[in-house]
Amino acid sequence: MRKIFKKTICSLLAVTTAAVALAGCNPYDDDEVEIDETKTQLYVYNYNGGYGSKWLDNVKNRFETQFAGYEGENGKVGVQVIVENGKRLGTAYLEVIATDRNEVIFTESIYYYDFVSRGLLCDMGDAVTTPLTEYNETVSIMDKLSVEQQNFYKSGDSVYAVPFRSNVQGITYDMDLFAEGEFYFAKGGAPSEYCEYTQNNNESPASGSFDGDPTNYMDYTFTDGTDANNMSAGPDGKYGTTDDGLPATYDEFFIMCDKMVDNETTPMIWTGQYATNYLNHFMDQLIADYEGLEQFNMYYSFDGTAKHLVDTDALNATGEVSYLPAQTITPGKEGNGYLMSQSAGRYYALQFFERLIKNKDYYDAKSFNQTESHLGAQSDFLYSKWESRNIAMLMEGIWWENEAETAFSELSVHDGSSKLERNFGLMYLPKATEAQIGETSTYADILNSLCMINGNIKEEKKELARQFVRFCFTEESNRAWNVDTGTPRAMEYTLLESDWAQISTFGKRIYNITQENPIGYTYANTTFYKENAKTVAVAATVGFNNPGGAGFANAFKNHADTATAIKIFVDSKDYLKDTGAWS
Amino acid sequence: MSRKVTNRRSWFPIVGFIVFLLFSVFLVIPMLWAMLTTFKTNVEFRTNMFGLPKHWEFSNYQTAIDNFKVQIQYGAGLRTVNLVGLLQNSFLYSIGGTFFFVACHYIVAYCTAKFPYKFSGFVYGFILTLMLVPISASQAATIDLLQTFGLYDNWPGFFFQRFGFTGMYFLILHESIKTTSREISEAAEIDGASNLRIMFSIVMPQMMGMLFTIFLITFIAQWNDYMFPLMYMPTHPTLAYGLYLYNNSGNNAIAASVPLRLSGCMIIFIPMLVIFMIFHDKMMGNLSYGGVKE
Amino acid sequence: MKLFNDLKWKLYDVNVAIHQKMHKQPKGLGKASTRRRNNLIFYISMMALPIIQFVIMWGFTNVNTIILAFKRFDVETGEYYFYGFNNFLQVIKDFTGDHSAVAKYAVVNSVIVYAVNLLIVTPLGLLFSYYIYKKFKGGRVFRTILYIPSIVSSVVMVTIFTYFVENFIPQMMHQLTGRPLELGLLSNPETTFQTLLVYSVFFSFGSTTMIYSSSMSNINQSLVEAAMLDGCGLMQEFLTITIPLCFNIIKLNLATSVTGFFTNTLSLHTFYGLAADESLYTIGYFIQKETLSGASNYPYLSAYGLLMGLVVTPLVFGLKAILDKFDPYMEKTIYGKGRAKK
Repeated sequence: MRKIFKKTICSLLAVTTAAVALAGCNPYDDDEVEIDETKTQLYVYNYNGGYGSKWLDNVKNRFETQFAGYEGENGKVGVQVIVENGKRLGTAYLEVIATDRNEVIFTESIYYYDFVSRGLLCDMGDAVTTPLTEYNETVSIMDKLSVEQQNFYKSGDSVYAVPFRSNVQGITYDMDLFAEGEFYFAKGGAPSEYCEYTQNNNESPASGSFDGDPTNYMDYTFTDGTDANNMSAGPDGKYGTTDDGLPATYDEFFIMCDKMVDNETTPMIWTGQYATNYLNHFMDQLIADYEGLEQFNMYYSFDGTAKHLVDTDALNATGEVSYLPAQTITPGKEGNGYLMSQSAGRYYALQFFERLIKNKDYYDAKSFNQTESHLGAQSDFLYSKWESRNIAMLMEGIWWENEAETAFSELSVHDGSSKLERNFGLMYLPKATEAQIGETSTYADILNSLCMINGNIKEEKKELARQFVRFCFTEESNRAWNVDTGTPRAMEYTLLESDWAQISTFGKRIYNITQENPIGYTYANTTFYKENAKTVAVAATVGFNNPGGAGFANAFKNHADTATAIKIFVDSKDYLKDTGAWS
Repeated sequence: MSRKVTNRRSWFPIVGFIVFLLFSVFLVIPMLWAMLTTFKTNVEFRTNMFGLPKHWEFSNYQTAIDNFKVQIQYGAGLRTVNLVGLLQNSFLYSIGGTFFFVACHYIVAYCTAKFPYKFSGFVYGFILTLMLVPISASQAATIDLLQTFGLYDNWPGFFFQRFGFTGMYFLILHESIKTTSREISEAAEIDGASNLRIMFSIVMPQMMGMLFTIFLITFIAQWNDYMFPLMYMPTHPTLAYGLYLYNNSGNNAIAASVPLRLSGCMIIFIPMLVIFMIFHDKMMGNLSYGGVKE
Repeated sequence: MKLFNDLKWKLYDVNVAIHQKMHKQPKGLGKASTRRRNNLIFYISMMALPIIQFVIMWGFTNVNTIILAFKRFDVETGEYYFYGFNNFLQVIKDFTGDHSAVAKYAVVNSVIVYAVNLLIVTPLGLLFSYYIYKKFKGGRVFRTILYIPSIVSSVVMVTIFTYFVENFIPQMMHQLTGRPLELGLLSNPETTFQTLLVYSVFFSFGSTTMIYSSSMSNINQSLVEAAMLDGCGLMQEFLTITIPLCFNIIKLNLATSVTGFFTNTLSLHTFYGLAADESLYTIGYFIQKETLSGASNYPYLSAYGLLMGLVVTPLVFGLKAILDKFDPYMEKTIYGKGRAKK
């Protein structure tokens, strides 16, 4: 017994000695941020995700220079910005913000009204509604936002947060691969070229008619895109625009995919690990594009008149889409909120996914593999050019080039592999039907990323925090953000020539798209949304009562025989009506 | 009288051996694969996922060590806790926290088992009921409380939080203590031993195997726990929290590289493996501590 | 002289009587009373700090949470208002409704997981512990390997396991059979739930087996030797000696594992975060998801906790009472109500 005790004690001693020895080593790095007692400190928190922190360091340096003469308490002159980078977002921040010392917070996945209703945020109304005259601008921060954004963020005369980046998601396509594989549609080479809108809205429309089999890609005409005059009109129905050559309709999109498959090119890849999230978000994009801004907003506000409601009985009987009369949506116990599940945009989006997911040739095998992270999918997409396989499109958010820095760096051994040398574009979304060709493309901002001020900080610091927020959203700051991250802000601003030179092709494309097109937001400021934010967050996307009880993606993948877009669409309405889930 | 010869041949050892072998193979192969992967570059991992590394890349561990750090608020500023600091915190957190945890469980289990007051029965029943009614307080409310009492984000506060007895181990210890020999305790009492003496010198040695087992299980759980330090000890990050941040790193060079991520995992795994290898014999409770010579 | 002697003894008697009166022991201050008082002082002093800790850490924080079960958060005013029993009704509806994912999948999956734990993990754990306790061939090595997953962070194990079943196994099958590369075990819908169960089974043996082994190691070897001499076989020894002598621990595990039905998450959060497919839900994961989804869910979660307590408490106590009937120790409980008075 003594021996055992001795051994145990010796072992414990050994461990303790090791620990003590470690105590002799310095447990802290030498990068301690020391406080400058002569200056006023401003504490800023940054969610250090895909966008990194380089942009905030840039802001910090410029702000400290700009406010070098700031007179604070106790005779302090100047400002020292202390940036804390972390992984706290959404609900996690809700729990700690009241005791957090950070004064300005940049984070995401925020249910704005959860914070506002609890009085956790500082009102920055004056700061964001007053023109930025000290920066030689005539508009305020709020003026740079869209009407929808302004309506959401204003609570009476108060404003408690500002969106600080755009979170659109879509299909990135490899322009070089499209040229090499001749995946662009040629002028007159597709049925949509002869639709009414295209015919009537161009000086030199394609003449004649499409005389091939619309289901056989070999009857279509493709081009490598080198002759700009020989490209199809694309979803906007007009020649000479950026979307020329791209598929104009869902049908054409899958025809293009068929060609890719036959040419040993994998049409698409997305992250398998987060497949459900990414496909849900993309569904929001498709719905937004079909419905348009006003109707898309109703998916979250449940307030207004729904104009594109599908007659589900007729759909079930005939498979054809016919519309019900416009209905005023009134959520509530005896309400008709469930009708929102019958919107046509949702049906067509389900159809799109049915066609996409049921055909395994259309996407990479890893797209449902649990080990394929979003970074892995980006890497596979980038590497495919040099790995004896081609992947033409990536379903991702517009921030992906920033996240893929490592992949770009690893690929630098290959010529022409850098971000500035490769040519990627954000695909203008094809339209659900030919009848929609020419309609404005609407996009959806799918993450709630906000800049806010902690409501529990000292009064005297609130004014400084407001000044910082104003500084963050000047023209200069917005441009700097765009250059540093390659992604646009969620507001209006103009890039200079010098900025363009530093942005990749993809960065330029997404800037143009987000500046020129309406963006819908996946939130609202109605009481219904505030009370049901977490359920409504997937309002547009989740199928209910599907075979396998899964969201639509898993239903199509796992129960291909029984899961159809019609079934999921019709069953959703029945489910919501019976359970009152959207009441 | 002739002695009966016992035939102890049985299928059990053979079947058990085979089952154990298969089980072990299934457990060991993924871990070996993970270990091998840590010696590959990310580029090699893409093309040679399962073979031996063509070039043994030890720099992954250096990179992992260099990036295994947590930034914390320090005074009015910020500082970065490196791997050494995380290790120190982990030891203090695991050993100290576990000590107080086990001590409290033993004390309360001993008192309620050996002193059959009505209150003891009430405590036992209440704990059993508590285990069955999962109420989780909001983090915000708990932080608020800790700050009120000056127990938030400091070691005394943490040890106070760990000095609790609500859990299954209280019930296990309670049952075990009840089955310890009463005669030995009475003999000690007759010899003039105080209650404290009996608790620590007579009963506790009989429980040492169980106590040590609970200590080790709890130690391991504490070592791997990142949520608690994250929520209640944010300026005292541990290795587990460091791993959590490392795996979700904003540094895409790490987040995008499977070998680098697995290297980080190995950093937290290896100290535990060493401690386990030292103590694994003791864990099984093949000790026979007794208070009295037989 | 006789008178003097009588007087002397009379005085002596008075002296003794006075002495007795003055030094009379108060009632209850005999040895037994002192012991009882000392026991009480010891008990109070040892229990004081744990009880204070409990009141502070559990009482203060959770009392308010319990009250929340009857309230609802108003997003417009930021206040909680009285909501009656509606939270409880919502919980019942979620668990029993026709269209509810919880009712359809979570309850069923939880039953499967509980059955697997009860019928596979527990017996196997006991057998593993027995194998190790008997020191059969390779027992020490296997014991070490068995426990390694328990000492590794779940994040690490899930990462390794995921890569193994998603990449290694399909590649291996492809190499061995020549068939086209198939989906990984987690990606393939036909094997996803089973794979998660396998993970749960394989990596949950460690601590349970440790507890059982520790209990087995306290068995008196003289008893075992005597049984051996009487011709007791291995399995007979296991069933008639080992199990009964460890029964109190087994009983406790079985009784408290009922709560596992409601709390087992099958590590879904580690695998999928909050995005696990509904068809994989367990009750524990559903509640965990609700917990992590926002502060406004606390009323619902409180109601769930209270309801669960109402359901589980009688189950556990009932099961414990049934198991007590089989517990060989219950008949010989020496532990009475304190020391018997002489």
